[in-house]
Amino acid sequence: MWTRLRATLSRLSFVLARRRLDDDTRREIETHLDLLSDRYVRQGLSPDQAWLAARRQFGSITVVREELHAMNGVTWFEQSVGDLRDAGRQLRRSPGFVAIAAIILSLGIGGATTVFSAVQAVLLAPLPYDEPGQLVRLYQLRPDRPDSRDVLTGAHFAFVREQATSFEDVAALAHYSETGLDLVADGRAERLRVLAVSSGYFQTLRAALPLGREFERDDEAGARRVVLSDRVWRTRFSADPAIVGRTVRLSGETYEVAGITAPGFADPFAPDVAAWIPYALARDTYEENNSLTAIGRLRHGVTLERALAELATLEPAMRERWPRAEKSLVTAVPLHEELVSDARGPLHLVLAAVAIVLLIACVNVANLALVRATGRMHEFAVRASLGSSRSRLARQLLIEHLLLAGTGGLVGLAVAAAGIRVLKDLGRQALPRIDDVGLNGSVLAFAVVATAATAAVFGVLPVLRLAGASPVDALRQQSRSATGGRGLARLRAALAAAQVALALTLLAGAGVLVASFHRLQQVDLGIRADRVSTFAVHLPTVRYDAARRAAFQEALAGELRAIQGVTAAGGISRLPVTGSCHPWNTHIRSGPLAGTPVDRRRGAMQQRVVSGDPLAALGVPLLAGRRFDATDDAAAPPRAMVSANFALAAFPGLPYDAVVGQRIAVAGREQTIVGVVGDVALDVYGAPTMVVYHAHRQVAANRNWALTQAVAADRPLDDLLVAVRDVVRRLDPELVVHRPAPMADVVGRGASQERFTLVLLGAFALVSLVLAIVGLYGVLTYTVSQRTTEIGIRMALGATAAQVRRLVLGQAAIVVGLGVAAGLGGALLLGRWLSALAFEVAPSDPRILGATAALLAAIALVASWLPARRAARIEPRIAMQDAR
Amino acid sequence: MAKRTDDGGEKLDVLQGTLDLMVLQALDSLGPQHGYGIARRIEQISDDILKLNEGTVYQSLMRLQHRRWISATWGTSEKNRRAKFYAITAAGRRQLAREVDTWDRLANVIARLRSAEPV
Repeated sequence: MWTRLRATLSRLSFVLARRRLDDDTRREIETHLDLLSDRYVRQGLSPDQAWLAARRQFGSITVVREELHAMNGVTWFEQSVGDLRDAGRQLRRSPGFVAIAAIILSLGIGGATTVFSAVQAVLLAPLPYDEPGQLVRLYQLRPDRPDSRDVLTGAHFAFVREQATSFEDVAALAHYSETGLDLVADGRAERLRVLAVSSGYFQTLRAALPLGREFERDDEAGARRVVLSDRVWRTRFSADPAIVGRTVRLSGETYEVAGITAPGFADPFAPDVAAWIPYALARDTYEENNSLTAIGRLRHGVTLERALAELATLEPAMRERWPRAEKSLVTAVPLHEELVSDARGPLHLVLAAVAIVLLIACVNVANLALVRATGRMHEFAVRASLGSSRSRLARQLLIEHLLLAGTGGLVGLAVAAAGIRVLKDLGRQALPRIDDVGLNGSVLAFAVVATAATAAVFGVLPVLRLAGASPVDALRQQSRSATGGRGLARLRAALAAAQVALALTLLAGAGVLVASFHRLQQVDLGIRADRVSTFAVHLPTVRYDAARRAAFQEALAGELRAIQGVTAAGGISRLPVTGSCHPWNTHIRSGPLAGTPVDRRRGAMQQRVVSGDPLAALGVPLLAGRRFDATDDAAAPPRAMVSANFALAAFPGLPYDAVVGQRIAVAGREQTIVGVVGDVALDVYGAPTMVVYHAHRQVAANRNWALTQAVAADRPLDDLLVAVRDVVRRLDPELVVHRPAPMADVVGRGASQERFTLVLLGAFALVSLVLAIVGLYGVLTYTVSQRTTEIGIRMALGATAAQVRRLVLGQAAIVVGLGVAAGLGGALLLGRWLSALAFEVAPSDPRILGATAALLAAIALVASWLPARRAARIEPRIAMQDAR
Repeated sequence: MAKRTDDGGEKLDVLQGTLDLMVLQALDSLGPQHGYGIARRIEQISDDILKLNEGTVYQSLMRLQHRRWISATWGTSEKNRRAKFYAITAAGRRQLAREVDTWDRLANVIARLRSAEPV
């Protein structure tokens, strides 16, 4: 091996010195001949005779020189360069074929590359932290109920932090509600997304701060310290290192700058967090307040299994210490899995779809290449009979195909660059880590591999066909009809059927998603989303105490309602249909179930704080009792409104009217029910949830509630917004109207993953449909041109145009029929994957499969009609002349 | 293949590998030599038994150069003609030793085969 390598390297140096060596050879041979003829002269021959004798003894000078020349070359390399040149020439000769093939291939390769870029960045790339495999997320659950998985309480988190030895570090993140603080520096205000974290947060993520130090245990008493992101530090403090240790003003309060993050550091759950403050863990002692996202870093050598086993041993101690907390078991899952698992299903599905498109593109181009190769049968036969080896011919075809695929790949990269932009836009709400998607090294490598694989797939049939053809046969039957042959026609028809099958598979998949999305929009969410606008106003705690906040929210609701065209308005701690928030424990204190807790499964029970009347704005009806009014203030005994399903579950057998006046306790606070309202869904899938509503004025002291305002008005958002800004400015000129959005968009965001999958799958299905139809059309047109003579004879013998049409359509029917049958099988296979993503639609629903098959058949019929008509218009006389 | 020559005897064709071995052996015994000299040496030693197109010597020389068994430098031959002089390298000597050994053993085997009594 080594010797061979050395010989090759040494040979390469001879290649470089080749011209000089050729010269040397010439002079060496001259000397040799001179010396040889000198000897013959000495032996008595005449100079001429001596020269001839010397030439005879030497052998052929030309042969020697050529062989020496060849020895100094690397033959296969030179032949390949030659082949490449030939291939370029061949392809230039048929620009139409090249253009069509390149476009088809670029759609396949570009699409595949686009989707792969997302798969790579979202699913495959490791988390951007040191040794990411060691990171886990912690959950808390009832030991007997795996479905009760919940986030952690401060108490349980602190216990695990003290007791568990499996972890190098653990940290708690108060993610459950979004916090924002207004940073005011140099007279400019900017709202920062702020995350409250325990000490050890940066240590757990191994994100050491280049400047300053992270929070200590002491800070968990609620210290006013802040770690700023590198971006904020650079843009707002001109990267001044002296800022560490100084104070900044956040929403009117002073915070000491504890440190600056490393450039590019981002929170794993909320990448847009720009500032971190200590979480007041010391004050979070209520054992049923599950509100903390907890992460941990496993010690070296500790497996997840061992950590889980250790956590299980802590369960009895925690149960003993907090007997009321039923979720007494803490468990861990890999952080990477936790972050990307939701995206896996949609991305894998889209990947499968794009693989199908790529396959159809390959089959399509293979079909084109077959026709082209058949046209060149004669050329290849001549070359084979002139001594070209089969492998040499096959290699030349292969190089042609590689060149063609390479062209497609290059265009495909341009397609991918555009596709990635669309995908990032589409996936912003639907996928985690979408910002990292881009044309990086591994994506480019994928494109190259996809291109090569494409060339192999579409190139293999033509190569087999050409290289396998016997030159004698090909030369003998060089007429057009002979070069085609029935075998080829059958092969092409099979390829067309395969395309139809693949396209149907994809179309059926898209059909399921369309039906599913349609269903999703029909779901009764319990609210009216149209003509409702939403926005938020945040009140700085320093200027607004509890009483001021309560007064401001009611004043705002009143002013909003006074805007012309507004029918109802009010604030709510979290809009309905946008997921779970504040699932506080609720106990029943009166009625038949008095003394029992309400269903504690995750999402089953929600709490909402309201100001004004957001329920009226959202179209949630009042079923009994009354809505909150001015009498429900801080001085009054605590009151609540409940949803109808809560009333039924907590007070079974009682009519709504009788539920009014009943008593419940939420997080230990006893309150009286004053009204029963309609049910609202937890999310866009219509998941039912029970809701208890609290009047903001009664709970304003609990915390600075971030209320989202809902305004029902028959005016468009932009128009309404002008009036809203006026109102807010009148109330307090320093406040900002945040994130205005129509309620329909807010709801739509919940279905963003469905939309992402639907749009991509739909686009790919469309492309595959077009390709398959083009493929079918091509095959039929080709067959008609092949059978022109035959058809001519039939017509001469009395066949009618209708009969000829039927002939062609019959062939189309066979191709489409086979394709549809196989495609239905494929759709059922794909359906197993789809069922996890489909909403209330069975992927095997015969109506969807039937409709897509019918659609495909109808389009195929249209595509077949043109060749059929052309066949029917064949002039027998001309056709038979052609044949001669 | 054998060809009839004028004197009625038969000349032996030279196999490629054998020629390489002869060229190496010639360079080993004579020291640096040009192609003409090597051809003369083979002619002289073989006593005109071998039929050799002298041009093939150059192919052999090129092959041996590729394997780094000989090296070449330009020099001046008798009668002041520029000629390329070839010299055996250390690697070439080792190769020669190996090949000669193979030849000897092969010749030995053939000799024993011929002397063996028919059974």
